[in-house]
Amino acid sequence: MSPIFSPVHGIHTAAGRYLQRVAYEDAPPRSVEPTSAARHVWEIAFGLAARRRFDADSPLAEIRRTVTTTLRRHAAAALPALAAEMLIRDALGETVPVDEIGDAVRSRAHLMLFAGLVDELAMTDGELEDLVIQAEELAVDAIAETVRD
Amino acid sequence: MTAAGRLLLEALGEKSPARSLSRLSDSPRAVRLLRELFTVAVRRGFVGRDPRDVTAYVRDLLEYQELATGGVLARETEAVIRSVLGEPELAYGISDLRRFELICYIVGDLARPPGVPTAELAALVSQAEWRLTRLDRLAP
Repeated sequence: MSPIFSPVHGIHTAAGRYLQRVAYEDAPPRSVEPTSAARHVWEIAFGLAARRRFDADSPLAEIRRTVTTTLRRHAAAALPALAAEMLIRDALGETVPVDEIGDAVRSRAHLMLFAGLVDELAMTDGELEDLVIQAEELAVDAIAETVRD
Repeated sequence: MTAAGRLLLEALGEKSPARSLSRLSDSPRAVRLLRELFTVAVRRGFVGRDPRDVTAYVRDLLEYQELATGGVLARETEAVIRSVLGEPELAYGISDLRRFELICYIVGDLARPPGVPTAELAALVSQAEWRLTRLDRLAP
């Protein structure tokens, strides 16, 4: 294929770039009024990272350790620990109470936990970029699916 | 058994145990004993089990009470239970009044049919009384 028609590599969206910056601790785990599309990318990326780090039956103590370490690092964010734990368990496919967590708290949790998981997994720059790109692609697919329906 | 212990057992024998227990809020001694009974009952029920059993139990409890199972009430209930299983920090953000309400639901659930046998319930209350006596003795 001619290089002219090759797809452009790299992270495509502002949401993806912001996520990458949060993982590099180059941006805070909150953003002023993110769009719903941005929230969607972050949620998907968080889910991908959570499933890479844990299995569905991973011990709760291990999940708690990740939550505790992440929250300790971002104490000022004042994120409820159990809500953060439930979001991880939800991402792993467990039926847990995750209703009534506001969009702002949810997005903050996704960003913070994503950064914590990336750190625990000791991801390389390339792996992190691939993960963010994958999240962007899945978000586009999900939006396209919604439009088709 | 103390008067407070008898009050708890009476409340547990009534038609709506959780509501009856919540009416004891005027009696500081009964409230303290209720908190200890909660600790004893939860520890005897969950220590050594998979912590995920707490989540399942809370869903079952709230379904039985016809309350929402997917939101903040479920998380707070789980937090209060796990707070006496070695994770006290989970319940730090929950007000005393809210904790008391949730404890009434959980302890009241001991009477859910078929219910804990009366002798066993009395033994739990005795153990709670013993804990309270010991705590009083340790207090400065």
